[in-house]
Amino acid sequence: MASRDTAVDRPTDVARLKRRLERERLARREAEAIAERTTRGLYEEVAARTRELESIIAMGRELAKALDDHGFGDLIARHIARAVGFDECGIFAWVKADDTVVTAGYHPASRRSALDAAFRLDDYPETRRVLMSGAHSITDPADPAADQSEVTFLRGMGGKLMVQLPMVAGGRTIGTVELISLSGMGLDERQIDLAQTMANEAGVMLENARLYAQVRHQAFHDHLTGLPNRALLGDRMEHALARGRAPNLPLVGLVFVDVDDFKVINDTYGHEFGDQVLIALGERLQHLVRTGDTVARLSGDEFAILLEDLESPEDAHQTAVRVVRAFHRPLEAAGREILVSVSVGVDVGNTLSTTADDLVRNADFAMYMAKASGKSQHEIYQASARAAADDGARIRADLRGAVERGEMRLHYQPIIELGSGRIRSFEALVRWQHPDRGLLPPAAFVQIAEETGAIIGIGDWVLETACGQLREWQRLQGDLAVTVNLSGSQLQDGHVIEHVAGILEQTGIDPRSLVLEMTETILVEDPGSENVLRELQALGVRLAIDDFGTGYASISYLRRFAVDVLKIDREFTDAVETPQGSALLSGIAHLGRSLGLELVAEGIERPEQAELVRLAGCDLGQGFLFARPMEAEAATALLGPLAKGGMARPVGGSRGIGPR
Amino acid sequence: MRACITGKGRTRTAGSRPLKGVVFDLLERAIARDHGEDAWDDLLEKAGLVGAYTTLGSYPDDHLSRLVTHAGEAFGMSSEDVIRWFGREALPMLAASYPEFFTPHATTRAFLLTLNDIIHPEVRKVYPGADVPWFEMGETADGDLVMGYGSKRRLCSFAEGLIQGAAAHYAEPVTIRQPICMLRGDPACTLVVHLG
Repeated sequence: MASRDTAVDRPTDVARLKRRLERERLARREAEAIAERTTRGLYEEVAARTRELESIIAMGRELAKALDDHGFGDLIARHIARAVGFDECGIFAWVKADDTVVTAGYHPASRRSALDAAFRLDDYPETRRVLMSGAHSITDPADPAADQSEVTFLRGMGGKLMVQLPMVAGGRTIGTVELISLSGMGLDERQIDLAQTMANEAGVMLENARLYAQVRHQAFHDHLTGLPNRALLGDRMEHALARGRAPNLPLVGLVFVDVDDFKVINDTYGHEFGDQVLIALGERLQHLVRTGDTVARLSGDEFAILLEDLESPEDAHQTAVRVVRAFHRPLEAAGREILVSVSVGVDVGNTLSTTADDLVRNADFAMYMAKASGKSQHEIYQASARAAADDGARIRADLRGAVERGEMRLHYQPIIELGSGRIRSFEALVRWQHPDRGLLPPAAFVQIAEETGAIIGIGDWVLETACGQLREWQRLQGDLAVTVNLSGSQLQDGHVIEHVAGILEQTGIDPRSLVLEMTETILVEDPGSENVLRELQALGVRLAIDDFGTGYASISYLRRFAVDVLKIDREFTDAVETPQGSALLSGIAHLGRSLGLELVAEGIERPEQAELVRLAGCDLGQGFLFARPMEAEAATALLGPLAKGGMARPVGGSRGIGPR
Repeated sequence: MRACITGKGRTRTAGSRPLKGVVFDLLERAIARDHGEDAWDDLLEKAGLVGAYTTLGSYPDDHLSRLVTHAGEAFGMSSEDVIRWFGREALPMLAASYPEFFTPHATTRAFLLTLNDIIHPEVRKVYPGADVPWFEMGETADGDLVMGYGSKRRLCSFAEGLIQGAAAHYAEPVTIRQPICMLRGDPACTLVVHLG
């Protein structure tokens, strides 16, 4: 190394040293630049890997939560499409037995309907190759050698490039993942690796979901016959009984079926043949019932049929008769005909008086009674009927003086102008606050009240209370109306005319703001009510037909009385989303409008229904979408802000009003 | 003024991590260019520093303050002026090395608004562990940009210099004032940037 002194003395050496220094400096800068680029590259690499891992983890986490979901396949498709940045992704499960793949999911899910439910592998050799080889394949329509069936499929989906990947779980290929690019963007090796990793993760999840479903099916079904087992029957019974909601308490029936002398069959022909008999027997039972009913095998030679939504107990009895008769014909088992007979027990109940345990115990008991009275018989459990009768007697007694004791309540449900969301009127609905049984719906006491005549006192109270409440409300909204239901007995009794006249005078409300509502059935079954209705109309009140369309086609009544309002039964609202249902509703609405009637669609539960019903020509609607029946105080709260015009919500939004 | 400079959690506790070598590299280049290579050697000697800096390394904060103090003495300037000058001179060098951060923008303001979300995150990719400041961006009623700064390094003058350099890059006149400033004992700084 040159000393400082020497360098100072020799300018050329200084220049050389400067050059050397400059060289070193440049080398340092370049080394720094390389290191900086490398650092940045590593950063990007780590960030990309992290994103990939996060995609995989996020998919796993979401799928684990959705183990029991029908949208499972769509979920997988969405995760894979997003992770690799492709527009669309399909998940196809391989059904080896049928030599097909079935569509298990698609992203975007809205496009899934563009796909067939299943594809024959004979038609898609490339897919078969992917499944058999476990290697991915890329379909590019620009490539003349591309498989033409795949190209046609791809074009059909509007795509420009497709990558098919095998979905492998536990070493077996169980389907394919097909990524479709609408822009023609390709995938690099890295993206394919990621998609493949995710496809396999998803494959394991799908396989788990399938096993889970299988295990669950096994847990709830009888291995021999494939029928629901005791656990599932119990579950369905609980559900059927819990579904009961006022005012329609559904009747639930249980039919117990026991094979007579099954032991003899087993002993004579062997267990294997006995099993075949049980299978054939289960099949025959299934043919005897409606689709919604459940045939279950409880144990050995014991079967049961759960009948839901019965019209009357008689239906269950008819089923029992059919079951016994069905075995007058021989069964075919293992290629041999054999005559077996069954003993049958029946019980019927509803939510008010029955539990699932009751039903099983009672039907079982009735079955033993049938067996005891000679085989191939059916027996009905009688105690329930008796209990129901006792129930009626108690209600009858308790009803006496219920009005005077202040046990009656009115709930109000708004009727809404569908175009503006404004409240047009409230329907007053009676409830009975029973001291022991709690709040009872009309179905629990109105019929008995009609029988005993208590309905007159209740009806008067309802009219007075509703009109008094209306007078209060009209301070908030002057044009508000109230709707009150009239029963058949009230119409037979001319007293109602006098009473309505008195209330109108007493409250001073405009008669047109009181709407009296009755069912078609009442009009048809009691011609004498005609005069009463005319006199009520003479007072200026308006008349409405409730549940229109369910009873008789009493169109002539619409002409004979100046009916003002038609309340179209919820059945038509339920059906409005089908073309026929919509046409039917439009027809009724057209008829009503040409007669100058106001039309109210009942039972609106969803915003789409509200919109369709309005388009069909109904101006007014009622249903849980807007509000359930509520106490007067809650109803008043709806009027305050509405009266100021600030909170009306037109139909078409997704929110209803009032407490849900 | 919408600026919030007390910073709820985003303001870093600076000073705990050392300075990145790129700062010393830029300083060396600026001083060597304007005052000659010997001036840099002299500064290092006066400050008692070896001065073997590389952009890949990190070095204690006080190296910078010692260099700045001695530069101020040598050039007859206050430390703040040295730092401001340094920022102004460093910016064109940065613009030459990283044009991709400058070319997408037509104005100083647009460029400054990418500091927190684009430029500083990129700096951290190249220099892992770089302790870049977070500016709380705001606006005065007159439309001036307000940049709140709360770093314990108290290098608001450096920020001022860089902003001046950026304005020069985009050929816009700029005036910067600091109604409150840590150097005057306030808890944080606000740089009010008036452009045009």
